[in-house]
Amino acid sequence: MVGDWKPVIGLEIHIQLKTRSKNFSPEGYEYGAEPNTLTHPVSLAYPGTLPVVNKKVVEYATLLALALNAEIRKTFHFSRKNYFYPDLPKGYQITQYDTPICENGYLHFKIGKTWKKVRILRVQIEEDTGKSIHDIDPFYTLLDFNRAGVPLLELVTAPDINSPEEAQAFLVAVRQLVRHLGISDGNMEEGSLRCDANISLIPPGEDKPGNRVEVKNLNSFRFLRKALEYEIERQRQIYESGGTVERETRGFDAVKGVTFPMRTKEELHDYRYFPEPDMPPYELSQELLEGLKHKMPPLPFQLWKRYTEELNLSEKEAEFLIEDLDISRFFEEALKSYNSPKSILKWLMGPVRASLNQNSISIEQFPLSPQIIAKLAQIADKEIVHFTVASQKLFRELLKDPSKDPEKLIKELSLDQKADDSSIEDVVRSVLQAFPEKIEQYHKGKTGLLGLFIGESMKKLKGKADPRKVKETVLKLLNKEQ
Amino acid sequence: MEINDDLLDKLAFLARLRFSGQDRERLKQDMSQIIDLVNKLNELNLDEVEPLTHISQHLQEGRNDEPQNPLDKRIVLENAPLSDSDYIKVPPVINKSEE
Amino acid sequence: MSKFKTFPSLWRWLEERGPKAPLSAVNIALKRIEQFRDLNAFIDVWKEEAQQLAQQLVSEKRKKPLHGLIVGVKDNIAVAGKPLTAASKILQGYKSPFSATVVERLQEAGAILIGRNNCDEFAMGSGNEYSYYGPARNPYNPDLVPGGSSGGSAVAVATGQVMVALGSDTGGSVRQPAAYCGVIGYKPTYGLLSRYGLIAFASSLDQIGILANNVEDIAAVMSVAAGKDPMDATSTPSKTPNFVEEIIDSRQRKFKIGVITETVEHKDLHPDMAIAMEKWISILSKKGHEIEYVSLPLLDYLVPMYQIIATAEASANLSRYDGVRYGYRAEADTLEEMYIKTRTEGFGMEVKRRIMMGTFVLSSGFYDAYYMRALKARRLLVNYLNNLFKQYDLLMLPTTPAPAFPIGSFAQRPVEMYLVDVFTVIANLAGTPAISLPLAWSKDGLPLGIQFMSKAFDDAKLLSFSASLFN
Repeated sequence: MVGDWKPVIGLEIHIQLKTRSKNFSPEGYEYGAEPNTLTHPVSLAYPGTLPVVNKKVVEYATLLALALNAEIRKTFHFSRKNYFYPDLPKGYQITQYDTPICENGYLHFKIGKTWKKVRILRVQIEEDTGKSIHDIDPFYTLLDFNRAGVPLLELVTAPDINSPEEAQAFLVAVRQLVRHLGISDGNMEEGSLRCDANISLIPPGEDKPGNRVEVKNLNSFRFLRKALEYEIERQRQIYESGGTVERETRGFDAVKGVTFPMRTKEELHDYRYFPEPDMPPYELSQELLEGLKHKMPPLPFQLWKRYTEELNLSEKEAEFLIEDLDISRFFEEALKSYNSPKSILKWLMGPVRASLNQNSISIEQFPLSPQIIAKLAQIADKEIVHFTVASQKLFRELLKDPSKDPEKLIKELSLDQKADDSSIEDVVRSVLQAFPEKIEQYHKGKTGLLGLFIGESMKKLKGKADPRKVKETVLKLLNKEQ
Repeated sequence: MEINDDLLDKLAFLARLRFSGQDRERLKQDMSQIIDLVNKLNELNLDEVEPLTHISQHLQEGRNDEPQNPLDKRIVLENAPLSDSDYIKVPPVINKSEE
Repeated sequence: MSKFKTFPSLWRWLEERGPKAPLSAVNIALKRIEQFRDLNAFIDVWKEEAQQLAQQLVSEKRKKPLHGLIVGVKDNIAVAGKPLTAASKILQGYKSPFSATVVERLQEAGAILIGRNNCDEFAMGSGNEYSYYGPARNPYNPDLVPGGSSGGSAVAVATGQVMVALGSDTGGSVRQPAAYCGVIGYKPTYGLLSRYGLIAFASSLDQIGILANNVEDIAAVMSVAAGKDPMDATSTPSKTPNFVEEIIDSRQRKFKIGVITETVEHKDLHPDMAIAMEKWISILSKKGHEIEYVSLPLLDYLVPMYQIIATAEASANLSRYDGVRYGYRAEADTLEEMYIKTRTEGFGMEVKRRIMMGTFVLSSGFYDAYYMRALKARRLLVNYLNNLFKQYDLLMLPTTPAPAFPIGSFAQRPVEMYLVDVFTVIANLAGTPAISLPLAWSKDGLPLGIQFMSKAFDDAKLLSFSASLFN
């Protein structure tokens, strides 16, 4: 809400898929290659060439459709969208107009402490254009066709987003999703994730929004948010001064932080869509659908519910797990070996996280397997070795040589050497001797001090003692003192 | 059906073509004639008929995701009417400063 | 019969001429190409390469299936390293870096491609009059058209300049010139021959077609060229028959043939064509085939349907000719001006006419009334024909209403030329195979073609039946 003005925002997101070859043309693609070295007669629209769809593209699109809980169209075809532009070799883009691969899905994203659901109207399979470079040569536009024909998925949301922050958070959620599914790098700087926004305002007291403005060329999450902030303010001012907001397309000037009108003559964009005759309809097999359903990793919102409702983890813990879905994957794997969520979490949020941060690596690069972490958690819980020792000494040794078996390592390093009863007594006696006033307080009723005596004793014993024995001994000696 | 100048200009722009003088008048006539010819389809009752969007009798099989060799950059640039050592060149888009 | 000396079928030629066959074929072909230059059948002749290849073949022990077959290639079918211009100004200077799949298969099989055949610009025309290289001429009377759009191909075959020619057929462009020039013209089932490397005119109607003087050569070419191509999604994945074996095996079969009433009773039908049809109906009957008259009430709606669909697809297929990546580019200061000038100067009037029509039927406001309706009408036709083919093995009709017309006759009335296609568009719209056979002559000594069609993928049946008529 801006004052009483409610922003109504919809997003059109383009996701570049990371297949090995392009969509309808067979050559490979790589970001940042030398210009015009990754082309083919097909993607250059040389006379006599024809499109053939890349099966991997369909698979990735289907995966996204499943993740978005959308209605999947089992049989679909492609369409031609006709317009002239120098980076569009055929003079038409192959896209999906009347039969998008899926419709009516949704995606949850977290904004602050709450989850919000955004409806996904459709996802369609299409192809990218080449690149037009206007600012190198003053007299010519330069064309690089490497990107022409690279597979894209266009995702169109309903206007369910109501603030620039929500828009940013939603886009971040989309990025997380496509990376998690392994279908795209979702990198805005490299152009593998792009976003256009449609925004209008509902005036105070009314329920219908004013005219929609499309904002294009938003190259980062920040710019998306800034552009929307600017646009909301711009539209609000127009309305408040009694004017009307025109339906138009605007660009965003990142330097000045403003949106500006783009001269695209609306009435001349008659795309003359018609079904692409060069490719017969494609049918998704039941086999593929079932296979992909099995391959589907669980999604952030589902995981959140599981962690907070089923496993009764705290919000902070759940947030930790879903921030990087590879961590939740690790967590779930570890749970399979040792079903104690809190224990595993203690390790993940503690020593594991510290190690990742220290070495600037991701959980994917972490040398210890989920099974090993589960084992460590088990060892600490069973008190074979105290948590402090396990999470420091044992952990460190395992990191040095991940192939070692933790239990063997414990023996090798004598970590489980338990002090015998008489050494325990000696240590406890010396600890108690150091705290005469505390002992008095203890006897006067401050029973909480027991923890202090036990802790200090354990420290002196370097953890190599059974904590229960230590406690027993402390109590024995305290009672003797009486 | 009459083709007026407005419609002709609109279509010509969509097709990036230009017609003037005699050619333009002839074209209007020819198009009117062709449209009259194709209007014959209005005699058919097509209410319950599904459009035939694809004539192939099979479904598309698709292609495996295995990259083929790209076209040699030199050929790409040589075929272009104007290019430099890296890029194909075209005259600038009009009003590009406004984009 | 044909008044020109032509090659016999390839297998006969190889038998008659022995090991030197490819070399003598090339020499004879080159001589005839020179002899008939005025007919303008060839844009380019690849003399040295053909001779070299012939030498090479002569020295090869193992004979490939098309050993030394002399082939003409229409100027809209790609041959790697060679100019490919679709007889248009807009592709002047363009050399294709790749070959059409069909061309590759023919070359691998030992065929000798001898040059580029003249045609109508972008295959749009019925007389080879709309060519950047000037009209091709009918060998039986040079003031008449040879037919189009594969006019040059038909002339080359008719005059023995080549053994076989590759053309393309979108609305009759192989069959009609074959009929006008007195040769066999065959359009396969849609999807049987790969379209990869064929400059697209109308994607759902185009097929590469074969012109020849005997069915055996067509069968030999099909055996090598037909079948699935991973570069063409519309090419059939089904296994293709062994055409050569099939035409030998089934030659004695008797068929049930339906003669389409509306064609023999057509108002534009030339009296000599009517006579020819009657004559052959009688001959076939005597040969033991069962002949009946059958109705195709949709006939008058076919050219309208075809005009909408073909121009719509063409308008999009020709958008890539914009002066950016290849071919002709006009001088201009801005991009928009470059597009408009390049395409206005680069395309001929007929091509521009069709692009405008196609743009019209797809444009918003007209899409449903024209394009959608045409697609629905097409389904009606396909359903109707499917039904007919359940009862009949073959359908019989004239290829064209009349013999070849004078060059320039339609100059002031281009739309009327479209009606020449009325009997040929059927097979393109339905995707079914069709063949024109040079079975008759007009009183003026001009060739007349009779057409036979079968259901989709029954090409072997169609070819074997055709072969049986030439014993």
